[in-house]
Formats: sequence, structure tokens, C-alpha cells
Amino acid sequence: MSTKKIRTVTKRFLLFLLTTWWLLAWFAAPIRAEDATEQVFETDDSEEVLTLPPAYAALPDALPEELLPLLPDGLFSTNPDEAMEAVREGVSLSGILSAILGALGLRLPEAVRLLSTLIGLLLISSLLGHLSSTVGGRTGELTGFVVRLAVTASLVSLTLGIAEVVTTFFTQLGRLCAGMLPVMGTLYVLGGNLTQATVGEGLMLVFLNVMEYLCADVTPAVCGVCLALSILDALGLRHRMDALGSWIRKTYTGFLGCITFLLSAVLGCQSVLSARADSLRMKGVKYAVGNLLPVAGGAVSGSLGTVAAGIDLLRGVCGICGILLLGLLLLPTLIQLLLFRQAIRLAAVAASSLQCQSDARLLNDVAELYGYMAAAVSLCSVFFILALCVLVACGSALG
Amino acid sequence: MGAILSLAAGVLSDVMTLINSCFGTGVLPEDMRSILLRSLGLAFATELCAGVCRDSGEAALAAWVETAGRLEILVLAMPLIRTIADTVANLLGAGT
Repeated sequence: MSTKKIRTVTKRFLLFLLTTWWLLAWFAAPIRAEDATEQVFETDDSEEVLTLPPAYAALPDALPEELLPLLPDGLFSTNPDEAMEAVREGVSLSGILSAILGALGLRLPEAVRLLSTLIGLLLISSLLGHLSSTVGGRTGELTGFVVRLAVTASLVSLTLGIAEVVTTFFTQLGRLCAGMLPVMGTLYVLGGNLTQATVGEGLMLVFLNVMEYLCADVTPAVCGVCLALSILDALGLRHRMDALGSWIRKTYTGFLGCITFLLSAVLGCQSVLSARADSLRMKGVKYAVGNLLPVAGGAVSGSLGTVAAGIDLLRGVCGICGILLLGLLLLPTLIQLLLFRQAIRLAAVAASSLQCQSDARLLNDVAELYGYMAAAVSLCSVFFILALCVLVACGSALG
Repeated sequence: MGAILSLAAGVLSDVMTLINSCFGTGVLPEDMRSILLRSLGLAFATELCAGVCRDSGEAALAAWVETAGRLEILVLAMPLIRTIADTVANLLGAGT
């Protein structure tokens, strides 16, 4: 064998070793980042099986306990086939309908109970109001004020449990986002979308901060301020404060909308750009592997396409599972908000009929507050849904 | 006067029975029920006393009776004001 040939063979062998090492390091990096003991590419009976990341199996820890029985069996399995079947069952028409009807069935009796209690309270308010007006003079006015005070206190305590429900929703949504963050990162890195993983993670962290510090903390405070203004109005303050309350509510929801729009726009634009950059980089790598390694190079390049298809499947399963979980979290809160809003609106109509104008105004203000809370809850869910849609729709850079 | 009072007491007793049956449904908490009934009773008693004083030519005394009655009603209403203030304060501090 001539020296020149030996040099060529040695050069090719070294190149092969280098490429193999680089590819191994590429796939091993995200696995080490997650958990050194768990493997995304499990070897079972000398057959390579692509599995979902371990962070996906840990998602139930981030979910409220009452949600777990509603989920299909095998949803959090690391076996993609099993998880896909469960996701398919969850997003089927019957699954969605049963979730909606279940949430409706749970919340409807509560709304009816609230309506009947409010109407009972309004009847008492009307009766006592008429009794106090028979006293006459300033003492009668004062008694009327005490009656209004008692009725307002009861109305407020009856309708305010919802603020806690909304705060709990924001906390749960934050936990779900935090749970999905490593899953999305791992799947992006596995598909070769390194830039996208960084961009997506950064934006999700900003979103988590918005959730934690803006929504969960500020929403009850905004509700409190608006409610205090409505109470002042209901108790007979000379200057109407409803315009100020309405301005605060509109500004807050507008601000939330702006933040969601900004984050969504940045996510959309950055995702497109980073997907293109990652795709170009991976095509360069594939070209180099395919051409520099005569036989093995072609095989590696071809198998990358298969891996990419597998990773796209995993992304689909994880993304749709995330949307399903978000839907199951959002649905009860949204249905409760909307049903209670209708119940309070009906009670306001009843109050107007019973000549309790101040109670009617207070109830209308509370109903409006419920509407704004429903808007805030929906707005905050939009960004998370968009991030998951990007995960599902964005093709793997390996492919 | 006695006849009017006994007649009024009979009517008021019926009204109180009705109010009690309404409160019995649990719509209003017990403490609020007590405050409301006491303030209503106080208002009627104050107006009655003030009226008797005026009829007797004691206008100054009638004014004092009314003032005392109003003060008593305000003191009775204090827990209600505190309940509302606490609810709003809890709501404002719920997120922190």
C-alpha cells in the first residue's frame, strides 16, 4: 500500500471519528442537561427507541390534583405511541365535549345557588329599605344606610370568592409553563433548533415573570380598587366613581393585551428567523457529513431525516398535550366566571325591579369586573397556546 | 297612645316574624341579622320617644333623643363598616 493511500485512509478514519464524536456529543448534550441517568434514546434489546423527555413524565407534578383524574390514561408515558393515543383520546370530540359538560355541570349548580342567594338578599334589602323609610326623618335615613351597608357587605362577600379562583388559575398556569419549559427546550435541542430553544426559553421566562408579578399579584389589587369605588358608589357617595373604576379596568386589560401582543409578535418573528438559521446550519452539517464520509456519511445523513421525523412526532404529542392541559385548566375558570357573571347580571335586573337601585349598580359593576377577569385569564392563556403551536408547527432543523 | 302602641307592636311582631323567616334561609349572616334588627328597633324607639317629647313641648329633649339614637345606630353599624373595609383590604393584599 502506498504512503499516499495510507494517508488518505487515515485522514478519512480520523474525519469519521471526529464526525461520530460530534454527533454523539450533539445528541448527548440535552440529555445530560436534563438528567444524566435518563436517556431520550433508550436502547432496548439492541433496538433504538425514541422516547419523550423525562421532564414530560414529570409534568403531573406541575398540575393541580383535581385535574389528574380527568386526564386520559398513559398521557404522561414516555412511550410516544402510548402518549399519542392518550392525546388523541383527550382531543377527540367526545373528550372535549365531556370536559366542557363536566365543567358546566360542576359550575352550574354553584351559579344557580349564587343567583338564588342574591335574589333572597335583594328581597330582604327591599323589605328592610321600605321599613326604614317608614321611620322617617334623619333616623330613617341612617337606618336605610345601615341596611345598605349590611346588604353591600353580604353582596361583596358572596361575589368575591372568584378573585381567589382567578389568582389560583394564574398560579397553576405559571406552574404548567414552568413544567413545559424543559420539555420544549429538550425537544428544540434534539431537533437541532438550538437558537430557537434559547429564544423560546427566554420568552417563556419573561412570560412566567409577567404571570407571577403582574397577573397573579396585580389582578386582585385591581379588583379591590374597582370594588372599593363601586362600594362607595353603592353607599351613596355624591360623586359617581364608576367612570374611574371603568378606566382602571380598561387600562389594566389593555396593558395585559399589549404585553401578550408584544410577546406573541416577538415569539413569532424570532421563531421564524431562528428556525431558518438552525435549518441552514444543520443543512451545512448534513452536506459535510454526506460528502466527506463516503459510505457511512450517506447513511448518517439519511438517518438524520428519520430522527427528525420522530422528533417532530414527539413535538406534536408534547405540544398538543400542553394545549389540552391548558384547556382543562382554563375551561372551569372561564366557565365559572361567565356563568357567575350571568347570574349577577340577572340579580341586577331583579334589583332594579325591586327598586334597589344602589344594589343594582353595585351588581352591574361586579358583573363587569367578572368580564374583565375573564378577559385577563383568556389573554394570558393566548401566549402559552401560541408558544405550544410554534413548537408543534416548527419543523425540526435536522429534517 | 297605649292602644296605638299595642297595635303597632302587633304589626311589628308580624313583620319581625317575616324578617326572621327570611333570615332563617341563611342569606344573611347571624351577626348582620342582629345588627339590622337592633338598628331598626332603635330607629322606631327613637322616633317614638322624640315624638312623645315633642308632644310634651320638650323640643330640645326630643332633639337630644334623636341625636343619641342616631349615635347608637352608628355605633351598631361599625362592625359592618369594618367587614367591608376588611374585605377590600384582603383583596388588595391577596396577591402580595
